[in-house]
Amino acid sequence: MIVLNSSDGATFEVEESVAVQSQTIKHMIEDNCADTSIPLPNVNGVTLARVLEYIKKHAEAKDDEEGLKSFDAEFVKVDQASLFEIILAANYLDIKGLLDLTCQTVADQIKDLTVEEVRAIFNIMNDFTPEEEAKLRNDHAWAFE
Amino acid sequence: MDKYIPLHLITEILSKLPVKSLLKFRCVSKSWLSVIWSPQFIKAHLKDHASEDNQRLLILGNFGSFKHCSLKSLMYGEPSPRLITVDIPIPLPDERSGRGASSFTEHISWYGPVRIVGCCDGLICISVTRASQSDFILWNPSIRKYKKLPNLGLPSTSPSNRVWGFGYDSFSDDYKAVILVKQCSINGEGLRVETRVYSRKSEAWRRIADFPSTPRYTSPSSGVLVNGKLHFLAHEKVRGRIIVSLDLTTETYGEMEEPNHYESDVCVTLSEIEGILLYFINPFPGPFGRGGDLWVMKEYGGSWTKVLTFPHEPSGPFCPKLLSVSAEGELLMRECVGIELYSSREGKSFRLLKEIYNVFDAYCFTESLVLPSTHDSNCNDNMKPTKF
Repeated sequence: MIVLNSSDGATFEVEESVAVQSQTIKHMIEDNCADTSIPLPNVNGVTLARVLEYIKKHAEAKDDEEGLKSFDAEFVKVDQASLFEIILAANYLDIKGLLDLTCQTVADQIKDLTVEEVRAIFNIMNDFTPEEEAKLRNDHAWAFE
Repeated sequence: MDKYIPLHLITEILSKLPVKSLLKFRCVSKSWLSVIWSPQFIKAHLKDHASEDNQRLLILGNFGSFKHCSLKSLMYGEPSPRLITVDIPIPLPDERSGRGASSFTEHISWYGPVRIVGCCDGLICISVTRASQSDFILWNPSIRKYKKLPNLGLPSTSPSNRVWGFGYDSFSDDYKAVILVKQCSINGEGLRVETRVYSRKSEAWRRIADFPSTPRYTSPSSGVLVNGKLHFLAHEKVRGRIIVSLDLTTETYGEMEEPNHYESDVCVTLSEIEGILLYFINPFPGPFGRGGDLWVMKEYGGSWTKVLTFPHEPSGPFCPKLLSVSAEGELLMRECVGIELYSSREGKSFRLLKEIYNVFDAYCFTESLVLPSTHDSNCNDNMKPTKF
């Protein structure tokens, strides 16, 4: 069993065979950094719990394609802030399947939004001048319909 | 939203978006614009969209009409999935002269003046013939950008006798169009076949070594891209029927045997499905000559394996281009009367997309951001087509 410590002090136990779905944890174990427990200062307790739920399910139901598909569909039904937390955690822990799933989910959520709505979601400043933006919109005006 | 997503993760999200959304989101900020238009992103996006879910079937019908639909919907259930029409980016020659037999070069066929040279990574190379010349265009209909290629000055023979191809050279990261031009030698040596290559990087045509045999014309006649090489049916003086390959990276030729030795060959086609070369032969002559054998080259450069014999029946295939295979082994193919799905279990074909008759050509196609030119300013926008 491997012990994981979240950024806010929560402790989780997980089987090594399950934990190695995270390439980051796998390398830490291989490099012998996992004597007592593995500190994960970049992931809070709530998010780590969710990530562990994902990797546990994907370990135990490995061959059940249909079952995993419906699990994944339910798994991503969380608010956007939580989804972003999971993306950051999946990236830090290097869990490809989870990263692909969550990024695809966000992509599906934003694809029909307006430019302004997308800027709000990602907290992005518009650094184009009005003329520059107008020209860009004009270049592919049909994409905005 | 107080959580900051770093740009490299935003890029992961963006590469899963459809092309139309990406064109819109270029306006979000300067960093998003530079990500979306970067060659690395365009490639990553292409790779992320290579799955079966995103494949589309592109169909060329009468008089340069292009339509596409979801390949998955077509093969797994809907006999008539939603068709999207894409307007060819340049004006076509007058339709009326195409229909009548007013001049030899314009009475090309009742399909009209447009042909597909090839289709690769969302880029389509097409030829439009008017009066005495053929013009070539590199076109990405998903982003509605095109580039007219420089004039080749081909002799005004009927474009129905053209053999050509289009594909990707992964070593040079370049897209190339290839045209085989039959020339009669001035000093009476006989027929020579010149090969001209256009590269997207150089934006110019070059002549390379002559084609080593005589290409055989089939309809439509594009080289089939497998393993970075274009494959053409050919006839060699001594050995007879062979397949000639042109490596797009080294620009050198290779040869391979056709499977078996058939007495006659009413119709032979080469196709590609999932990177594998297929060879179909219908050896039955006459107007009811249908059915035949399908061979597959499982390992590239290895031997041919016969995988299927179509029944010799009026409903059998005549001269099909194989397009795709379903999980249950059903074959999607293009016949000139339409798109068909062949079930080997039932031993018969079913017409799909019944509202389209006369399918001149069909390709599997993915939407992509790949530009027709490596310099964006050299691409023209569909919305304001340049006058020819």
